[in-house]
Amino acid sequence: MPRSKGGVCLLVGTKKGGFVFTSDSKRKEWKVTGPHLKGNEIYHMAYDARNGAILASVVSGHWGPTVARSEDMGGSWKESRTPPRFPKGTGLSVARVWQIRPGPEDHPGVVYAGVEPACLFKSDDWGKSWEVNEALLNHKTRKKWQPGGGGLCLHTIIVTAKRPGRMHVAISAVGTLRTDDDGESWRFQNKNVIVGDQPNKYPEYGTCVHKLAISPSTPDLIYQQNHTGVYRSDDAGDGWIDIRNNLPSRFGFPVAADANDPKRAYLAPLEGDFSRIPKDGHFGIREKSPSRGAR
Amino acid sequence: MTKTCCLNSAPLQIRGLIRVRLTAQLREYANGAREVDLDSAADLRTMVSKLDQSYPGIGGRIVDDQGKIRAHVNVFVNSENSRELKNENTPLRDGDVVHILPSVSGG
Repeated sequence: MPRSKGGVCLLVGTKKGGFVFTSDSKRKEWKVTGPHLKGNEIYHMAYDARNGAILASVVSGHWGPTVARSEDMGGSWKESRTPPRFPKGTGLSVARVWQIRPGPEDHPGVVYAGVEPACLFKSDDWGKSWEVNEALLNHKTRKKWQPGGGGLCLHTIIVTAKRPGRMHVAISAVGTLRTDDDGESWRFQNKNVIVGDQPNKYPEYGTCVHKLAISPSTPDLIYQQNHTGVYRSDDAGDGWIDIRNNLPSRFGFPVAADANDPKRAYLAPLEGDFSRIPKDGHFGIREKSPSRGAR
Repeated sequence: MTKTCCLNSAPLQIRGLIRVRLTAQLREYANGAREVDLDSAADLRTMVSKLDQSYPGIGGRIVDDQGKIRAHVNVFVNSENSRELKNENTPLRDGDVVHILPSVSGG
């Protein structure tokens, strides 16, 4: 359990429900509960360390999407009273929630949700009700956004208490955006990110970001796994540096930043979009840090 | 007015009300009720709105953000699929029986 020292909680979403794995600091034995919200696709689950609740993105093939919360580690669930829904007249309808991100410590009750079609929603009451982010909904470039293979989804939300008002979001295949005024305005941050075989290889937007990860201790340091490469930004996304180096492939989906060492990140490269398996069929954890070198 | 529900072998007699029959997934919103009676509603859109007022959350499972009946949800007015009528604009009359069912779909 996260509330016990050294304990760990692993939340797993599947097409048939969600699972909660817990273990103590030794991690030799695990307890598992689930499937929770049985029969529904669980696109994402998030643990809110501020109040111990679990939030889940729930998608029913028949009945549409919603967000559910559990205050007893999955023992019981309640759906959002007002789930993420686009305003009438926009012509948009939420297909699914891709990511749920609890807000910073000093913003109790604030939770964010990234949805498909790409937009951001905010809750001020721990995920019970949601409001669309108008600035992103009405972004001047929205009509030119095109979906990636997984859809036009806002799949990554980064918030940090160390940079009040700042937030990063990532959209396939649009790119990375940042706000410094708590979501009142957004600007693209795709400098030096290549898009491949297009006339303009470095466009302002239209880059296929797959995931962002921020260093907990160094909030200006961000890692990016993109469709076309692996990048690092040392200036909160203003510019990106290609760090593929000796990775077996530039393609992959996840990236995670080390909880303690800001210079260390973890990736899982795949052969490519055409073959989503590890290079040569060998799964490995790729690590690169100045102290240990590449392994 | 007397209406006969063709999706149920038992004839049904109700007056001045719209009767809504709920599938298992939707009963969770209605405290387990298999069917609920609503005051008159001009059309399906209004009926869903009234249903949601009584049982918050249920409306968003039937219609999408723009108020359209979800692609894999079927709403029958008596024996007629609303898709063959006027979708969410299908008019209702007192005594109508509305069935809300998921499509037989999956994969």
